[in-house]
Amino acid sequence: MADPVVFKNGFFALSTGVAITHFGNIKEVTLPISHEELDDAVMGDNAKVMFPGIQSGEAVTVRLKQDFTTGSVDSKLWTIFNGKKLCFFKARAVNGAVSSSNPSYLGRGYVMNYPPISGGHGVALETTISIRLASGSSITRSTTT
Amino acid sequence: MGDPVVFKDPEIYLGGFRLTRAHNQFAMEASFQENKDERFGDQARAFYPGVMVARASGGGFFAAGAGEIDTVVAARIGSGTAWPLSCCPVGDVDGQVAYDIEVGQYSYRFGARHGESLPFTLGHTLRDGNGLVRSTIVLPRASRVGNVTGTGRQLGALSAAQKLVAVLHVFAATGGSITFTVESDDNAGFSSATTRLTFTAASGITRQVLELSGPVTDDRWRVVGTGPGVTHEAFATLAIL
Repeated sequence: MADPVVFKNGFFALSTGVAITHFGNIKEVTLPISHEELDDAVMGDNAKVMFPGIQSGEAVTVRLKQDFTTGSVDSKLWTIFNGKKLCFFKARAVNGAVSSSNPSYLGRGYVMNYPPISGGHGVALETTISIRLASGSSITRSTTT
Repeated sequence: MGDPVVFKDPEIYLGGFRLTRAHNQFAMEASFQENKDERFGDQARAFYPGVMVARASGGGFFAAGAGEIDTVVAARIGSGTAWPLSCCPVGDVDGQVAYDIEVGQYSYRFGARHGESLPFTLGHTLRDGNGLVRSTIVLPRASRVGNVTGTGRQLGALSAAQKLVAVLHVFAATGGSITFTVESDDNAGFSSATTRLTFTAASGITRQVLELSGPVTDDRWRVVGTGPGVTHEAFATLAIL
């Protein structure tokens, strides 16, 4: 059995262009993939039978270390968020080349939520964004891109 | 990678009052309403960003008196008058980032058990269609006498679809009135500066938000105050939306 993937060097990219690079300052990524459960029970079934529908499109959430330096987290996120930019996102367990053992999960969506400033006195500022899938997109898996 | 932003030196200004020292927590947040956008052919529930929902909130220690949180806010609870709320997350530094929002205060709470330092929490509700605005500090708060010229910043030209938003907080003005204006130019020396916006003359604590519609080809902007002999303390930001 393979060793666990200690999630310490994950890859997450968010960009308005297809050629996307690691965003940096990432502390946590949650990429929920689930399908809606459609009732598929018919007479004769003795149990509640379900069939997978479309992806439920739960928000992808990313927690980042905040940085107000020019060209860093805050300015990049604000440009994407406030401009309602359609973004490509891509996540991998390890920030290394995509492969069969390090697949990418990809999608396109909009950053729907951005709290630039939030915290009590003395904390290290963080921000958590949520991304919703855009029409025409779903979360896909790739071992080549 | 940069050091963390330790949230210890922000500045919080509400309508010409510096409320930084009243606070020990603060948040500004914006989100878009998630409008359903799925169509046949989609393999997932899809959404499109609708209108912005922006809010701010803070909390700290209750105090009443001139310029204190309770005295500033109590009269505004339930008032429809919008005041600009500005937060400089890494300090009030010329050229640094600030976030501005025009708000009313409809939610104010304080209370504690016997013996505690009385805390308050305050909610700010959006009163302006621009929502949360990311801006650049062009006139840091400082006590000054007479005319003042803020640093020119190359924020960019305004297209026909864009606008400039100028936020002014005047914390004090004595000995007359001072008029702040927003100037633009196409060169760093502002040798041919054009006055684009003029704030109402200030002779005491006041605040104002002005907007300038594009197009404007000048890409450099600054704030200038004219009030010979006036002792004043003001802060201004500019943002292009």
